[in-house]
Amino acid sequence: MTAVAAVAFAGLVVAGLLCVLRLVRGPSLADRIVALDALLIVIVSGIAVDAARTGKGTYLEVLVVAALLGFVGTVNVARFIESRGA
Amino acid sequence: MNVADVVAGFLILAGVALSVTAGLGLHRFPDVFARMHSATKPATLGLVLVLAGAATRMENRGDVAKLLLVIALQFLTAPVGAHMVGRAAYRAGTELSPMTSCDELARDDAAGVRGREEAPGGSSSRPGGRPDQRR
Amino acid sequence: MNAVRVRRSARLLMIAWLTVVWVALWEDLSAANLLAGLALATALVALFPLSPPGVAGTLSPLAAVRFVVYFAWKLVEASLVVAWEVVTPHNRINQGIVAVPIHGVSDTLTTLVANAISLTPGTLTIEIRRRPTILYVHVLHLQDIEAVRREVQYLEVLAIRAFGSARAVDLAEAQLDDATTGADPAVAPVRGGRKDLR
Repeated sequence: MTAVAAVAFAGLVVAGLLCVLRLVRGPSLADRIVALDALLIVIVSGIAVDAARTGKGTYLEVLVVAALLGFVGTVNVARFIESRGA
Repeated sequence: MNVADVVAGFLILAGVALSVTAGLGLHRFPDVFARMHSATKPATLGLVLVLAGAATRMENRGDVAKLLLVIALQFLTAPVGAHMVGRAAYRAGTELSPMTSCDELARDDAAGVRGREEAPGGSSSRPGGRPDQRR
Repeated sequence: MNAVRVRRSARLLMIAWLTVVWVALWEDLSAANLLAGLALATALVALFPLSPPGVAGTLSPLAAVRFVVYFAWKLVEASLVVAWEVVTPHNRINQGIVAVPIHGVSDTLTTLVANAISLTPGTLTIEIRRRPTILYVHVLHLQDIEAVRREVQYLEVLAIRAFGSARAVDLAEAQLDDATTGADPAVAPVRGGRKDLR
């Protein structure tokens, strides 16, 4: 299981770096919030992979909170874009 | 290594592969709307697979319930978030990439209708009338 | 009378859902925790009333399973399509925004269809207009506009069959019979609808 976890973490690091790259480059604010949304999914996946590795669910509440707060953040930035422009 | 571990490992690796695909798609696609496709579909499925894989490895039943809860929340919130960002970006005048072949929303907006005229198809290329607000 | 019944059952559904969330987060299935969750959920629903969802929906289990299976398959196909597009070197992207008029039975059903569309291959809901209900869908590989419309409308018919009231089902199926749909030739339209009427 630790081998699978290591490969999974490596893949998630790659995915996270790609998202951060888009976060930095993306010409408009909408690009950036889309990248942030994907980055949040990568983070949640990372916590889940670690929970799978140990079998203990110590940090699972963080998952729920992160998913909810990520959504709230996305919606609020969307409203900001609508009122002020990308 | 029992069957549950193999299943969990397979699910997790498949989910991570989809997340990497989502990240790659953010770079390959030409404009915001296509990138949203990439950030919702493979990313959501990837997350579901990773969480399902983690759920088979949990020792505690309650943890499985929490993971299922996160899956349900993700299904509920990801499309809504993408829709809101897409609508906001469109209204803010984000330019569609030049590969766009038809824009019926602009046609309906220009016609000022809340409904739709019975015009079939309508693959008019966008003249770029909306202001370019790229930053 | 119908509207009052709908509002009450929507509240009960919300209380039940919140209690499930509470118990899941606390991992504690004891009576005390359940009661605490119920009390908190009831207090929340009383303090923050939601607007009534509109037309009452009935749940048809077989159609609901069919909808969920179709939706799950489409989600997998969507991810594979995006993955393929990312991996292959040249771009076959031909984007477009298509206006799709749908039945729009109720707000809840329209929301469900709009959300489901965002997770099916190549489509993403950008704008929703009501009365008449039109979904503006951003398509990634736009080959045939009418095919896109048919797919979206087929998804909506599946959703109506699963969650809509009997009257809506009959209306939707009448139009499904009329239109020469090519979305899923294996679908045999159900004659007569369901016998349970609210």
